Amino acid sequence: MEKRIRLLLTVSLLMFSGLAMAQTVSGVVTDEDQVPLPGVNVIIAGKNTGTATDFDGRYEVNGANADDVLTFSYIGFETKKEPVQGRQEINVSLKIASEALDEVVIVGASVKKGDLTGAVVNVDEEVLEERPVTSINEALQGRASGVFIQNDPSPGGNASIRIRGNNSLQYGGNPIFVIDGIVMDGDFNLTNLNDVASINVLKDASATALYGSRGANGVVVVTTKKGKSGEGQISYKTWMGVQEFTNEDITLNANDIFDLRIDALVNSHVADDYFAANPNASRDQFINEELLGDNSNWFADYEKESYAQGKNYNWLEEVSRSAIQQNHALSFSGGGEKNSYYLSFGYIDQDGLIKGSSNKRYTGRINAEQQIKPWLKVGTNTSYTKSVYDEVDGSVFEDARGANPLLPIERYRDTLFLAWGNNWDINAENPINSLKIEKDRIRTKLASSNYAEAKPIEGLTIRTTFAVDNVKQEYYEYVPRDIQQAKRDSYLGRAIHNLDYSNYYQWDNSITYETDFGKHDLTALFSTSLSKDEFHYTNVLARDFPTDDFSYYDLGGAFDKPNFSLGSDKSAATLQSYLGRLNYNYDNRYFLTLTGRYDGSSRFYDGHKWGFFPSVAASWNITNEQFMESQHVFDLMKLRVGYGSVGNQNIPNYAFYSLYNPVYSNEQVSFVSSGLRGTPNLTWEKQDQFNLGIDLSLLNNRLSITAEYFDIVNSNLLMRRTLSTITGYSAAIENIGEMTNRGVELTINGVIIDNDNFHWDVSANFSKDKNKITKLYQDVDAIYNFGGFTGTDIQRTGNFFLEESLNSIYMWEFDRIIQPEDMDYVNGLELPGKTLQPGDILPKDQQEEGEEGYGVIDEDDRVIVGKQDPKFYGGFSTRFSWKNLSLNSVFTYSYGAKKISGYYEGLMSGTGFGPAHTDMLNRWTPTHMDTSIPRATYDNAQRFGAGDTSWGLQDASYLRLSTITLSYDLPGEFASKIGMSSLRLYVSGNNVLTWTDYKGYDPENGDWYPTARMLVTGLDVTF
Amino acid sequence: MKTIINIKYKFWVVFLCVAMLELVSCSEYLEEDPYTSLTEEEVYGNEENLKLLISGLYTQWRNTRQDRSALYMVLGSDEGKQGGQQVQENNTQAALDKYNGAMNPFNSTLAGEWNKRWPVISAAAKAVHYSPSDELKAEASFIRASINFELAMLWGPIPIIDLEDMKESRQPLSDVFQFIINDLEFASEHLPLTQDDKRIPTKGAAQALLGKVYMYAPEETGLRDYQKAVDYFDMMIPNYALIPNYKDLFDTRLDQNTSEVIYAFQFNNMSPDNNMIQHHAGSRAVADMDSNTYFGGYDLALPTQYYYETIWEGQDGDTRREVSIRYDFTLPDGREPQITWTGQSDELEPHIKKFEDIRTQGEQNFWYSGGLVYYLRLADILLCKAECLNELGRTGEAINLVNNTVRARAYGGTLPASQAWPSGTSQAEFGSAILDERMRELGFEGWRRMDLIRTGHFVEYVKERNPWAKESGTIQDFHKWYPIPESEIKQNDNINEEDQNPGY
Repeated sequence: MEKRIRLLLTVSLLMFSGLAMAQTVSGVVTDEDQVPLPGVNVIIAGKNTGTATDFDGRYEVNGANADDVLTFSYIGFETKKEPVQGRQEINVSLKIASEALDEVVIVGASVKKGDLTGAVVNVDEEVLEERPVTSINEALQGRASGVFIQNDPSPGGNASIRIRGNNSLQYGGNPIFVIDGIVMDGDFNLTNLNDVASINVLKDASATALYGSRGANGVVVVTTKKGKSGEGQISYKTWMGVQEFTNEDITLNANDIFDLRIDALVNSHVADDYFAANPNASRDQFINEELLGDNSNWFADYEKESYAQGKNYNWLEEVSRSAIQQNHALSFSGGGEKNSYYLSFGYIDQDGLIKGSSNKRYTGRINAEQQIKPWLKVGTNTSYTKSVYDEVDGSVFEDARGANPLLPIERYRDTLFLAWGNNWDINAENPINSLKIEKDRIRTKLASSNYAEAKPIEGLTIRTTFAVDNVKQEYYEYVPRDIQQAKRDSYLGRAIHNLDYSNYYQWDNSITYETDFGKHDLTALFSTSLSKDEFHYTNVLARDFPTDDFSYYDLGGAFDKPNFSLGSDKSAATLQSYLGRLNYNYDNRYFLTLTGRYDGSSRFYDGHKWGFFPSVAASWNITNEQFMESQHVFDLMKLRVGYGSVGNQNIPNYAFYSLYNPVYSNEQVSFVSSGLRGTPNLTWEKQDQFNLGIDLSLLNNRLSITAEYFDIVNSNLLMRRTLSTITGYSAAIENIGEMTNRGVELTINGVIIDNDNFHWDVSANFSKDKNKITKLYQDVDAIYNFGGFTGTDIQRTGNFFLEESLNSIYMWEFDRIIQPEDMDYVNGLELPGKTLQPGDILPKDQQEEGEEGYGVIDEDDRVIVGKQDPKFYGGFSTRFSWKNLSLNSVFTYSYGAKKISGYYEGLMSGTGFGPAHTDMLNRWTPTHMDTSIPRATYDNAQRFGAGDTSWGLQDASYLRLSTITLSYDLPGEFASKIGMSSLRLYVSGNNVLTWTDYKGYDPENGDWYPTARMLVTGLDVTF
Repeated sequence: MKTIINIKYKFWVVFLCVAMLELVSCSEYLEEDPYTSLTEEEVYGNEENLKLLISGLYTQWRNTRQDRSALYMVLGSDEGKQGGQQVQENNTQAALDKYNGAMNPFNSTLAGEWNKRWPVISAAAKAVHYSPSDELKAEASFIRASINFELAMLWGPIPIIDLEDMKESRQPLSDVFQFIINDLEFASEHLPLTQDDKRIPTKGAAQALLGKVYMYAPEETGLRDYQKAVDYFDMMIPNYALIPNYKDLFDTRLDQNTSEVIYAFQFNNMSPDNNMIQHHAGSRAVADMDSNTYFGGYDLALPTQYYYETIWEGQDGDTRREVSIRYDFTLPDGREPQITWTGQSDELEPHIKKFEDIRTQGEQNFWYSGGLVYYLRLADILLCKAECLNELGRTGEAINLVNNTVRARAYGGTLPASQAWPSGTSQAEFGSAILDERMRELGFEGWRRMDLIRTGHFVEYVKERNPWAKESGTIQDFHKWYPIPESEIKQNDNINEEDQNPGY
């Protein structure tokens, strides 16, 4: 049908064209260097008739009227319009377009970057290449204002990312990633970073409106590379690095642990009991007889031996290593008359720092575009990734770092579990044995976005895009029979197969009409979108195998049939959207964007599914005003303002129902409530965002500044609230309350020196945002987060208090380390089952004398002691270059965030029966009272622990030299002599230095792993 | 020119319409229902599904007697106490024995127990409301009554969950007990005499429990009625019989659903249906030596000296002592365990024996222990009846009943004359002796705390006989009830700080 209409159109056109004063126009099209361009489209605007240039750049069009306009377009170049004005020969030269920068493909339509009136940060290819990293998030770190990234140092780990702070209580803190038009909220890091041409971070409502239903927490738009016309290019990039832990050594060595335990026991009921029985005994007697004597249980023989011999055993070293990482990326790109292509292959091989852990990633991509007809273009961006993770059981690291440095490795290498003293702890599995657990994870991802774009008449673009994103994950595990994990749970080998499938498709259609009359430019867009996300999985667990030799491969061989367990599930969610958008600009001075979108989600019940989200943004380019023509200071001065709303629906599926699941128990199946009470009137969470921005560029573009202010009001917040169990449920997801988020962002780029041989530029960004809960449901002023073993302890984080930050930390405030003179006061206190002594931590009694609760330390004394939000954060970078040498460095920083370090708190328990932080060397003793470190004691339950009060709260401020790179570019003439168009060599350090007061492993990554530093050497060549 | 525009126009209109229609026609595109869950309407609106829901309630109810929960209420009584290492390590849990400052509304151990029970009550209440058949309704009523009874005894006034008349604030005990009685009366009318599925209660269970409720109801409710209790006991007693050997009750190798069992929580050796209790009742000294020894564990609850020694004084020949308490820790292979690194000597002091499951010996960790846990068994009802008779002034009958049934069985079937309770026992003497007898017969089976509360001896006995409470010396009268958890007060609009049990 389409074909027939085309034919009809062409025939009609030919018929009618004869009626006008037609003429023939010819000429040559070249690039700016006067090199002829073959395959340039030459079209008579509005008539859909045209031709293409030949190999020598020549063209000839018939039927052009004197008042017609010729349009010259070519992939990779800016389109040029030439009015015929009676000429018979028109020669044009086309400018190379940095299209990747200027055009952003959004869902179902492409938009010029200049049209984005909202808050957008762009990170281009050049910047992305500065850090030898493997994922998008890592590359973004410190490079974009308003974007807060926290790395995960495990191999192939995903960094977390927040844009403009937290804008939802619990659901959807992460932005979405739009990679070549495909919306993704996970697994985007599987994208080969070398394929990325640019990243745009959209921060305000006007910008994110295009992704409305899912863009409430910001949008990261990733555009991959396209082929450029002309001769094809081959590019090969590689780097190799060696990674090492930098600060795993924060614990006491064998000798100090031994002394700590003696001290802890001296300060305990053990000593009290001893002295009660031996009133005249001395301290030394107690130590030598009771603690170190032959029949003593407090020190094991192996410990006394290690101590005497001055031995120290590092179990962590035993299971960790220096890890080698390598990265190879090969790409082929080019373009012809009517097409362009980009093909790439990538291979990443990262060894983990724990022995046996690794991640290998294979990627392939094809981006191709073809002008099929003068009016029709089709294209695809398709990539495939296979990521193979060889994982190590988490207990390896946990048990190794918790191991006793007095425990001789050589002697106990094969033991089932480890010990502190004589406590052979069945839960402290021997980490060397745990390395035998096999855990293999394979993720494959196919992402394919395919589009057809028609330009039937001047100004009108119709685009349809169908995209799929399928992720399959296979997970296999085998726990052999001869290790503690198996012994403890009484099985002879255990195998697990988990297969997950996530199938997503998205169909977008858009109509864009662009027109200009006089100084008015108008673009109208209407689009529709459908998407469906489906997830299903199958799990199998089998126990007891005849041999460990078959690993997890032979599920059928499991003979513990009653404990054979199967599981599977499926869920789906759909979204449907309509969008209308109008971009208007007057004389390149005044810009206006109006957007309205209407979104429906399957996650809400009938009658609550749809939400309408309008937004408006305007900008004023002051430099284009007449009165600015005479000044030469400002090259750009643009004011932007925007206001709009976006919706969020990122909650679990089916939350409007109270659901019951079949559970098998006691040879019978029964229906049991999921615990979640359905909320039928659940609906969209809404973010009303106000944004004010200014873009300045001055001194011949040597200095550019972008500043933004934003004020976000989040209402109808979606929240999972725990319920009184009298309701019969444990929790419900509800629309509760309101929260604001305000902040400023500043980005400065400056070129300090720029001459022939020497160049120095600096760029910096700064972000500050403040979060406040302004309303909870009804007149409630606090919603507590109950958790813990029985689900009834108020947690330190996750509580919501009116007028406070979402990320408040709620606990007892640290008062002081108790000194002997405080004991009268302490003895007068009513404590929750504690008996305090000098050297212990004292929580602050929040009530004044005379107030109710004075003299009692209880839950009423818990207060907000800090918040986890940084006061400000960002990054800065600098680049020196001298001739072909350049030195880049990238710093990131965060200031003012408080962090709970569970690991540090654990290390401060002070019993000497577990690993201890080196801070314990400075502990309180009767002869060393001027310290902030509490005493050691074995009777730890009698006092307040490091994590009970704000004493253990950490300042997570840091400044980090993330990367420093020295590179050398081979001069062009030498490169071409060896048949290359460019060659770059570099050495780079990752995570080089960190300045912080944080006492755990890492102020940014937390305590899962110590900080890892990597030294990299790399090579980029292009042919 | 016009024609072209028209044709173009039409083409695009058609294209657009097709695209739009595609969207509009999928007006059901946004309908997504769960694939593997039922909605509340689907469950309660269908008898078959409702049956399966109630079946789930039995499991949830049973699980209040699983794992640590099976022993928490034993702690802080005069029969059970925590092991020293448990006290050393966990201050919140230690308060269950010490009745000190940490025995407060924030005590998460107790709050956990509270929270475990209410969802079962609430679901049972819905089942009562929606049940199309009286029998299903009777089952749900039984479950609701049983848990309400336990909560009201241990926490005092509680909400009444009745879909016809919801009362989410704390209700007077007289209303609560009347509600319990109503439920049980309905259950006793509509439950059948026997059940093939042992998880489902019988008429006898409802009658036995009803009798107990009339006997345990606090006096201030005005509902305590010993005669009614005896009447209900008499209805069901003839349908049950004591088994000859006390020790067989706890032998997991035998079928434990015997003629004596009125209702028992059904467990086995397989997760998640193992009772896990031995894991907490056994000895660490044994566990550290060999975790597949059936009497190992981690000393959460141990018998008090009063239980393992005092009550057996003068009771030579009572077979129940060796069945209830482990005194010897020699492993089956002859190894002798030693006190472990904890230095806690109570690891080798007498331990509770009733949860040992010899089936796990050498095969499985003691965590897999899976013997039945008795809720109502005939010996309990016989002792209850005797106690009621005594209260009714029929002490002679009561003495005969005890001597001829429970005590006779305890001594192997024939009660030596020296061990028979003399016929001249006074009412008061009987009243005091029967409490110890109940302990000997029913130790750690879940009734002791309630027995102390209903007889008003709770604080007096615990202060004296529980070593931790004695050492701490902080127990007071108000401690007879647990505190209403702070998590309830903070999340339930109908229960506020001022509704807390006095003293907390």
